[in-house]
Amino acid sequence: MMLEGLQLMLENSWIVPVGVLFGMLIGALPGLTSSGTLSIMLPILMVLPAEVALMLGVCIYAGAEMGNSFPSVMLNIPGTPGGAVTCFDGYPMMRRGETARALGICIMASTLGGLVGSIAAITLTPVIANVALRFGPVEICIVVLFGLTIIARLSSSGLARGLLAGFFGLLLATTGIDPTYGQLRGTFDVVYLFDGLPVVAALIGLLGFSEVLMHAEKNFARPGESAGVQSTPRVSWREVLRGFQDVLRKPSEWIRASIVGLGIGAMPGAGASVATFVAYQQSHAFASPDRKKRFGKGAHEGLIAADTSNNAVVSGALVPLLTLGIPGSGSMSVLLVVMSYHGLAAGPALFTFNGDIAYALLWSLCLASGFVLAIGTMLAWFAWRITLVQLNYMLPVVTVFCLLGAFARNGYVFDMGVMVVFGVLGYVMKKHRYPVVAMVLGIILGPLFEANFMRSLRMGFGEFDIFWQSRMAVFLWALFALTLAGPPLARRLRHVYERVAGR
Amino acid sequence: MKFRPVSGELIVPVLAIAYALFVWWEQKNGVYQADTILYMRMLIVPVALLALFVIAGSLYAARRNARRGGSDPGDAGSDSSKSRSFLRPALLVCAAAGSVLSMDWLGYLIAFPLFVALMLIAMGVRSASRILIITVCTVLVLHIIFVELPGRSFPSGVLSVLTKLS
Repeated sequence: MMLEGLQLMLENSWIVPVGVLFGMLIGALPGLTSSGTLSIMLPILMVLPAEVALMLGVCIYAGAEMGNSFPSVMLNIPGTPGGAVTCFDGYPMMRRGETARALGICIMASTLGGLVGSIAAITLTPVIANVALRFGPVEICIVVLFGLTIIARLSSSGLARGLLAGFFGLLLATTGIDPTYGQLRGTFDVVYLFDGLPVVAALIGLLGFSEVLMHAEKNFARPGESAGVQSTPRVSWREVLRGFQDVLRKPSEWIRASIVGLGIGAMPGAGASVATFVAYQQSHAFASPDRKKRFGKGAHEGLIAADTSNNAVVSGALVPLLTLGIPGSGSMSVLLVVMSYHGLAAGPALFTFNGDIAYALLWSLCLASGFVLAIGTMLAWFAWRITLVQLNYMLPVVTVFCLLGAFARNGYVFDMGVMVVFGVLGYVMKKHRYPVVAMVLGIILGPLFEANFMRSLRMGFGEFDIFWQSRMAVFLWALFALTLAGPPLARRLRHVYERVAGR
Repeated sequence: MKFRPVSGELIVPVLAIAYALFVWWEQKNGVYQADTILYMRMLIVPVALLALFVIAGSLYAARRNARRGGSDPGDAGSDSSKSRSFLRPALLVCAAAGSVLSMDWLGYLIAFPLFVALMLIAMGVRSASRILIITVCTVLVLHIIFVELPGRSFPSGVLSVLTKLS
């Protein structure tokens, strides 16, 4: 299966550089996130053959995670949330006149992060999939709740807001015909809602159009002006190569950051922003006292940690999607929608029935790492030009693509309206710190959760005992409880310990 | 008569409660299977409780801020700057909604260029040539990618009527 996947990937390998290049350009434009872009591109991803569409999606994601380093280093503006940590040491290097070297470090670190991450994912994913094959409807229900809770727990706005967004998403997902008994629910007697909530339109609204509205608020000064950059930085190839050497001389840094990125990427909801912070903190913790002082002032180690983990996250995020059918981020949610549109059952069954596509996806990440190095080096020369594209030209055009994306799935103008409504909802949520990804996850996983919940109840003759009868279910519930209660309990214990130690 | 402004933080939980109440009302007045009712209530109850918890938390934080003499972090800024910052998103939403509502009778070849041109002007683009180039390119690209290549049909509106008449 692994070799069949490699063959399938090689047959369609032309899409990899296209995806990486497009992703890099998107990532380099401050404000455009990979999840927003992928959601806008949904109609194109649906028209393409399944394997090509998924490979394109993954390569755009990988390219965007590297491309965000360009504005982070040159303008001190992260292209995506994951690029925030790159600013800490990348921008001071740029101010010191080491722009090319900083970009070289980012390109090589991203390449190695992607490579290590993809190799690890190719090795680990089948093992996890084998375990996941033992999952029945009860276990799937718990895993869905688990995914929602982790996203809620990791959102910066607090557990209650995250859970509210997630459960609200689950409730919205009940719109339409009840899958078990065929009764209409929450349709407001609108014929277009009888088939259920238009998921693609809701997704584009929540992730894509809301982003457009957030940017429409801002003043449209050139990003460089707001960052105080007076002269346009030039990039020399020799300096880029010096940056490559800086990374290769510090294997412990990029190996550690790759492991952090891979591990955190595999946790639903954590994503690149969490991984880069943790990897940066780890790099700081392991540095000598002398080197610690350089962090935040242009330390190479900090930049390596941020960019390696940033790209290792992509491979990590694919693991729960492919093995459990749980998308760990907004971009992965879009890929899940693409998979279900093409009739691929995400989760353990994917490796049984469409293992070649699953492996092709993982192999394409490996190849994408090579293209990140090649295309990234070429783009470094005129990266500053990409970062200066003005948003006021782009917003109306992106809005049109959002409207078209919503329409293309079912061919109803009504879906465009749904996209606008969910865009406004997403905008309000983002403005007031409600995690949009939790709601997206609720809407996407709602039907899966309901179907498995009903199946479990019937298997248990209407009794709830079935939810803790198997060993796997008990283990998952324990993990679930630990996720909910663990962090506050640890905080409380630390507080008590500090109070006792203070006496 | 002057009303106290309501914090935007409350919009999501209030919306969640309103939708939960609607679903609950629908379940109460319709004929549903016991399993469906059980599942829906399993979602309605946590949504309502979490929304109430978030509302209580927001109100408590606002009250505490008011006592300390600070302002709500979610509502920072003067009234005029706030209304100005909301103007462009509101305009974008209204224009998008307008183009959706007029799509069936105007058709995408008229509604989208109109929308793009108007929004470019609203976003501060003043060069007529740039507006023209961006508008034409956008429509051309979307026509090729979404209509020509996959062969999908988009609402053509009055243009189809004119074509038939001619």
